[in-house]
Amino acid sequence: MKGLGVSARLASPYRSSLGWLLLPFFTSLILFWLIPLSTGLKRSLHEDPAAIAAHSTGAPASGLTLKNYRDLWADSQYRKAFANTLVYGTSSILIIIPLAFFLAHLLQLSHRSLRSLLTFGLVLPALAPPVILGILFLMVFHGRFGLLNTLCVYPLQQALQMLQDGGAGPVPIHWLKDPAFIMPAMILQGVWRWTGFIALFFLCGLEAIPKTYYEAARLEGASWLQTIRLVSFPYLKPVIVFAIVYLLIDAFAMFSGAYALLGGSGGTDNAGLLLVSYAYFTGFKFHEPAYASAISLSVVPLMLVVIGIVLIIASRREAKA
Amino acid sequence: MKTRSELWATLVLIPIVLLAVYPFVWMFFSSFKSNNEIYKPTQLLPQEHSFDLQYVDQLLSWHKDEADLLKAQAAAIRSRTQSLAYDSEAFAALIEQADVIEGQALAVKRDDLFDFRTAFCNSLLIAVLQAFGAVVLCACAGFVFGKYSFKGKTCLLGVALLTILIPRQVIALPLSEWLIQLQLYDSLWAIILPGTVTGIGLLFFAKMFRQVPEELLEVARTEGASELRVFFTVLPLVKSSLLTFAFIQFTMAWHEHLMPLLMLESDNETLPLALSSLLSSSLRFPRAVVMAGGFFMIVPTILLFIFLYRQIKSSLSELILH
Repeated sequence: MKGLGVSARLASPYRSSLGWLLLPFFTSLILFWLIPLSTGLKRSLHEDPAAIAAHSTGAPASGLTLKNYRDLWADSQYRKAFANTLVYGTSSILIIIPLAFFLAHLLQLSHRSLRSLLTFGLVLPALAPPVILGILFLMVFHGRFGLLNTLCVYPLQQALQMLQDGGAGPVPIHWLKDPAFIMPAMILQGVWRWTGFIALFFLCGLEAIPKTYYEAARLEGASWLQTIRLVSFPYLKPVIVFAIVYLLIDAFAMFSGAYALLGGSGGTDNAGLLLVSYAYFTGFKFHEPAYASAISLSVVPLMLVVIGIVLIIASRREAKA
Repeated sequence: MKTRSELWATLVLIPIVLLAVYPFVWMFFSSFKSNNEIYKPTQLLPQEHSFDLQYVDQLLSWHKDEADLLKAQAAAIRSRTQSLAYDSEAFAALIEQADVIEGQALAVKRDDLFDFRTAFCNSLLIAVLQAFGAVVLCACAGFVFGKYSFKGKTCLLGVALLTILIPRQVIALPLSEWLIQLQLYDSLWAIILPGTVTGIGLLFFAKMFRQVPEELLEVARTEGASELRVFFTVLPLVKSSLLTFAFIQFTMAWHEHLMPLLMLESDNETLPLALSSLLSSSLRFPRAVVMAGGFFMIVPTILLFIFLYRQIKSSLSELILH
């Protein structure tokens, strides 16, 4: 409302100077986003030259066609990449958000002098480039010598053997080679990377809640859990929604982490193939730019739908409360 | 009551924090280790006797079928054990410009290594310029969006929102071809310029400027300042948001992998590219060098975060509060 009042009173020479403030942003937006987006869109509606040569009937190459998008549904690799991206996104969000929420509460409880040190330690993984995470997690997930195997899997297996008496000794889990374990490994990496950062967000939100709310809750005799449910949660809800959207977009755009972790491939049986990596492989390794564009752009409606659903659920909850 | 919950919270947090930090500490110490030691992630500190026989026995008992192979390997390694005490040779290997780096246990040819100085400078230049560019563009546009209403505002805002939903990674292929048409192949500008387009920045600054009291702008206007002048007088008030956003952009540019992979030649690469190619090179290549490179790579973002911690926290809570 404030803005409205101002602009009405502004004389036109003032307003032209505002245009100069907007110009650089939108110029670069048009140059480096809109133009490539539209060429990508146009490209995705044509057939690849290679594909045309393959059926070699001399069909006209200029016609607009939805063939690339129809091919997507038939492409088992695409469906795999699609499912993988969805699984990666949803399961990492389902783990990260509650965990970060819990950690933020712990951080708020911890002593003031230690708090920034602990927060810094938790945020550290988000400050490291995904390539480094790839390097480090090669060591964590390594089949024979990996940290996860030596510290968690072997003792567990040994304990199981003690119960069942028998067996041939610990069997290493090849986290990055066994198709059944590639996705859990990637999710684990995502969780390790983002939880602390999201916890920092939540902590900032928690610290912004007026102390009197907590006082009131205590006077009413609310337990710790009740306080969280009735005071912290409603207050933090916008932050939670923001975090979910942020993680979703990150999951859809995830490339570097998977690339480094799986050595620039989709992993055994493409169990770790994500959409951006699939588009990259199709475009650059197999030289099918039109199909690659279709792969990339097919994400957009999905993203719109998913984020729309998140926002609708969030606002409906608000209306109820 | 208060102190007890404090204690409990800290006790629960410390192991979790250690879990988050351990790999980095391990990475640092690993830059002093031999390859054998690096493949034992449970060992944190580099040791002089880098090969312990107990470990071989353990391995032999697990992999009976491969026993001969392992024994042969063990013998070969044992004969070299004397010379496996590492110093900071890995760091030197990255920084020094000599053709052959030969330390006590580390011999690397310059050809096998990437040009560390070029990669580091490239990365730094890209990250700094991209952060600066994004802050300038988004702060200018954000001011207009936060403080004024004009025709087509909702439409432009919608376009800016779409840039969040369709990030660079999604349009990377046509974008790279377009940049090649613009004669930007193998130029750092090909990474920097597209990086300045961020819808999130616009929304962030619009929100931050909206919180600046209208009265302040009015005062500046009655003094006869133009709208541009008003913008510059208000700018110091959002200093912490400017720094926070610059930090976020710096970190994202510093981590960027896909665009440099598409746009830069291998003798003009950035650190993430160089490290990932080093990682996929031969297994005998000293991993300590990769670890040292990784260490160099996380230092800038960590230092920035520490310096800007207060600003980041205050602007984040401000963002959430309103």
